Amino acid sequence: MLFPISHVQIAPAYLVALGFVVGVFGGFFGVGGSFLAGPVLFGFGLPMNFVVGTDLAHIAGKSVVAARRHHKLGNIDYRLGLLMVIGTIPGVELGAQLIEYLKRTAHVDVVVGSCFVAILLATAAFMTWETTKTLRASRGERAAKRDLNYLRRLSRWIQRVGPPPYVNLPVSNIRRLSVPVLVLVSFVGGLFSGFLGGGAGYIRMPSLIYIVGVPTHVAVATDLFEIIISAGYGTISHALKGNVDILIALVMQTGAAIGAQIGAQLTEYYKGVQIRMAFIPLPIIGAALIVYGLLSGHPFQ
Amino acid sequence: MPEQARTFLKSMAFELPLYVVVVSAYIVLVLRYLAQPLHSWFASQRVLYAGAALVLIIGQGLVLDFVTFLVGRAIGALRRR
Repeated sequence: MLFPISHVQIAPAYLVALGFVVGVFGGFFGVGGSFLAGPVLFGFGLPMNFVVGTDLAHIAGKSVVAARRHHKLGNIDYRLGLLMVIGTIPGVELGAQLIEYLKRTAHVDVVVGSCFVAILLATAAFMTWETTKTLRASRGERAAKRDLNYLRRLSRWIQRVGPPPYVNLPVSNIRRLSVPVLVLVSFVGGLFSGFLGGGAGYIRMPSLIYIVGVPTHVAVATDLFEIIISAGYGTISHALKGNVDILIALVMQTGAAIGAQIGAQLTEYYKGVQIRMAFIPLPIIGAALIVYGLLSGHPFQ
Repeated sequence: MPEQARTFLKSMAFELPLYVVVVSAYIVLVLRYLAQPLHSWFASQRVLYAGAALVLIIGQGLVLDFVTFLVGRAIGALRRR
């Protein structure tokens, strides 16, 4: 079927299935799912600038569903999420401007694709190292129960030394956190979101856990809440620049809505370190898909 | 997989076929009636297109959430009977 806005032919059933899978991952890991949806949409033949914008639009809608479910479970730290918006919005805008610049130089596919692969592989490598160390250091069972992570010392040190003003985050069990540090972390997340598409949960979720020191379940839920705002802003920004095919996003979201609810509910049955370990293969799959897409054209058409 | 997760997934498996029917009908309607106006807004009124895109995607998220809630409740009521 032809989608007239981007002039791309894709079967709607594929988009619904993709939305469902990405929805489950999004609800479970607190990520937008662009590490998977981005490469697959690119593989379907969507130009990379449309991939970035359309994926953001789909994520904005899907995150509403997943965040509502997490809200019912009491996992969202709203104070943390709202403070992060201060850094995220400028980051998203800067990332979107970078895409505009690259569109003019005609290297957008290669540059965005290469950055995507590097970030995805680095995230997977880092999380493999951390979860392995955590399980070894505390003999697995205890770490799982107490949601420990091997870099807990780093986040505690950052909580102590960051510049003022400070904020107290009782939902995240953090007594004192530097607002500038939080804004910087969210700015970097926003930059990746605007530049590579999606909610940049693959950066923000690990950052919240390892740098800020937020428990895994709260990080997953708060990240989703924050993604609604950042992806919503990104949708407007990219739509104005002609990078969003909203029809594709709407069809994908029909699958994502049910998938996101399933994923969000499943977080109740798993421990923090288990969720982080299960996350590791996903960025690697995303990286492999995008490398294949860059090398061979449009492999899924 | 934990026992609770397995039970939850089984209950969702009952809901999915009904949800697929509802969603398929919805997609046909969306593509039939929204494609033309959205395409023309994309070409000539980008600000209107951007606003409509955000409203549609958020609105659809809330509607679909409500639909899944109704489907779940209907199936729950049928099971109790």
